Amino acid sequence: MKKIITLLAGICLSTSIHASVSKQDVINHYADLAHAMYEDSLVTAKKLHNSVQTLVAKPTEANLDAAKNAWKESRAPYQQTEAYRFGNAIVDDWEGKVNAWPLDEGLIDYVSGAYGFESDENPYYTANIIANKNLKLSGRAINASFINKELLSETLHEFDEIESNVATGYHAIEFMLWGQDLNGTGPGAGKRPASDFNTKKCTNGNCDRRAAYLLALTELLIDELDWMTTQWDTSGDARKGLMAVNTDQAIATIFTGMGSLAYGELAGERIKLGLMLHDPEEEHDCFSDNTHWSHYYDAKSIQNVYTGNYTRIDGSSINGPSVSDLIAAKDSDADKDIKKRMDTMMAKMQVLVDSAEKENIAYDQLLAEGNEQGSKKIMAVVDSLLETTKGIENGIRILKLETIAFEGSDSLDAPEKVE
Amino acid sequence: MKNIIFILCFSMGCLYSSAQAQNDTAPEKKNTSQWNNAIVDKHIIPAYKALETSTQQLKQSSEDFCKKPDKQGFIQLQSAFINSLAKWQSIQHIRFGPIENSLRDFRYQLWPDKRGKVNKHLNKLLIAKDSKALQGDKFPHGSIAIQGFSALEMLLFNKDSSFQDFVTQGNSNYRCDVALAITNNLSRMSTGLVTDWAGDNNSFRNAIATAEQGNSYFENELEVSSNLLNNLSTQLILIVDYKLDRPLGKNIRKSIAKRAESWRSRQSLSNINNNLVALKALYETGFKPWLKNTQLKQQIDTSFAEIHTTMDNINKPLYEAVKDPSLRPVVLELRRKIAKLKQLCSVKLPAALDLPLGFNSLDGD
Repeated sequence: MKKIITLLAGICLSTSIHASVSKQDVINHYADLAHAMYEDSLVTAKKLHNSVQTLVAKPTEANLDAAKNAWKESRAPYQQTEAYRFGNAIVDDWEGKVNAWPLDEGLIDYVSGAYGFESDENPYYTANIIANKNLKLSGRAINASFINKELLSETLHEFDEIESNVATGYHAIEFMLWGQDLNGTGPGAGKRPASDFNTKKCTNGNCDRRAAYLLALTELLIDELDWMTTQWDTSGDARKGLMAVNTDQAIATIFTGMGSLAYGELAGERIKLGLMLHDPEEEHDCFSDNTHWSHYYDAKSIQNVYTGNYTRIDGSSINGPSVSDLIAAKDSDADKDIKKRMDTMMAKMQVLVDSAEKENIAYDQLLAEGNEQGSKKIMAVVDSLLETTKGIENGIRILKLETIAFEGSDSLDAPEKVE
Repeated sequence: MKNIIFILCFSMGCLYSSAQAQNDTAPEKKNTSQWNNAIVDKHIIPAYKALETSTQQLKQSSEDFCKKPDKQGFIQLQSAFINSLAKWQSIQHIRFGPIENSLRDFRYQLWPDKRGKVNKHLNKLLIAKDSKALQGDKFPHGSIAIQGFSALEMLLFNKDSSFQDFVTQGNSNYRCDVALAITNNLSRMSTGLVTDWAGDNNSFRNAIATAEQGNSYFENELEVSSNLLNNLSTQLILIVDYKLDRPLGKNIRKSIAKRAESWRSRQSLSNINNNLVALKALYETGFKPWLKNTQLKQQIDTSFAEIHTTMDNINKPLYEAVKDPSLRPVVLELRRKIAKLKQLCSVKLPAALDLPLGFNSLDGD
């Protein structure tokens, strides 16, 4: 299932380099930024875990709200890492464990009737792990009497290679904290009661198992982010992977990450498709209605990588050599143009944020059928992402990272993977 | 989870950047206009016209059937569906131009539908029986999931579908209303495509014909060629990674036949065949004539021929073949051969033609 991007550097080598910034400097700083972002993600995930422990020990509405806020805070640094996903195989092979989306939440817990009972794509659409100690999946009996990290990550996550069998990660935690958003394209997010975790006065059954599930999820998230942070250490594999290839190839990886996040992933899969369906489930954070921030920080991720700047969760900032410097050395107008495109992208994202935060109109209301104003706001974001993609493509041309080829498909790399 | 299908092939970067500065090093200037025009006139416009005719017939069949629903009319309607689907599959690969206007590409067919939206949205509509939602000024602006071939197939080919669903109590008449709304929508979109491509001086045909001087659509004629080449490559990726790999699964036990395109009408393989016939025509009309690498020419010809032979050896629908111990190996053989063609057309052909492919729209989760 994994497609690995390999960007082979072009044959024409750049003839001149800006005096003060070398490609190697840019690559080093790119890795440093990644380390800082994953470290911040880890710190905020630990805070989330603490608040979840408090919630489970004392399932009050106030503690549930605190956990929800901790989840939202943890999303900000993580979303800013997403420009590292495409291009760095080590990140891409891993990210599904923490940010897989969309998910068939019926795999995990109870759902409303409107969710439906079956799916062409997923036979385990309503398996409900929390309610079932013994699961029979794909003809196999699975003992789910103890809910722990291994059960979720080793057995259930992406069961049968079905992508929507998401048993772990941010969105599973989001579902556990908010529950389904049953408001359609009307106002409001999911409204899971805190008593769903109350073992004494349990609502909706199996509160002990639900609490165990939530705890296991946050523990897993910490494990995974800890691992990924380490990969960007000075001796980590992600950093070493970048250093192992020639500098042009590593720089091409940086561009691939930005371009693919902006184009196919964010503009296409996460935004435009949802608008075309006018479907409130088609928003990235569909339980919490936090989508505006997720999109905003994804865009920020692209801008961070391009400019080499990142503001940490403690407010300090990191600045350093970036691909922007490399382009500016060759064609300063082109660099300005790319920055301008990215500024526009951030401004359009800000419109989504303002709608949700200031006008109380969440993303899932903007995409409702007949909401022409909302549709315009979302399409403006899509257009700005496409413009950013064009800028990125231009940057690739200016640096002459003409790719001979990539090959990303299983069918060529490993034909034996399919039997 | 991830389908990072990326093709970044900017081997022509130099050609797009300032030509003046690089005149001494640039390869001999080529003009691909005549080949682009040939593709438009001999391949694209005829295919859209055939789609228009077939969807008009489909609309007529649904009107005839809904006036007097009977078994014969239902069979006639199913067969009109299959005919229109074939015409759509023969032009599915063209992903730029008028097909992008008003989200037509998605409204014709939402597939792959990884989140089961067609089923969900169609059921919601059938339960609500909202006749306003079907009106001509509203339906095209609603969910794209219920406007095209995927939803119509679900109505006409569900396991227990019969003409009686359309007459008996319950959803009876509304079911016909939905079918009429979809066929009308398909027919109108197809007419729109033909008009937008070939209508008048502002047509897209004209934009391509004048690309050499640059216009609001294209910087130059090579950008048109790149788009067409990208479409050739993207369709092969779609066939291998989506139309075959997803239903095949990693092994026979993990195959998921319902992930095949058009599995309900059992047209999955026929779709692939129509795609390949169209891709071959695209290649032979617009790229082969100026491809100088004779070895690559030979390889691509052989590849198309081998695929054709293997395809003929699969005598059951893909829906059954992926789970059939004797046929699955043949499907895998087919997949290997199309994957080989995919590589030739996505890697070797752009290099040989010195054309960039650009980012690929199939990327994403």
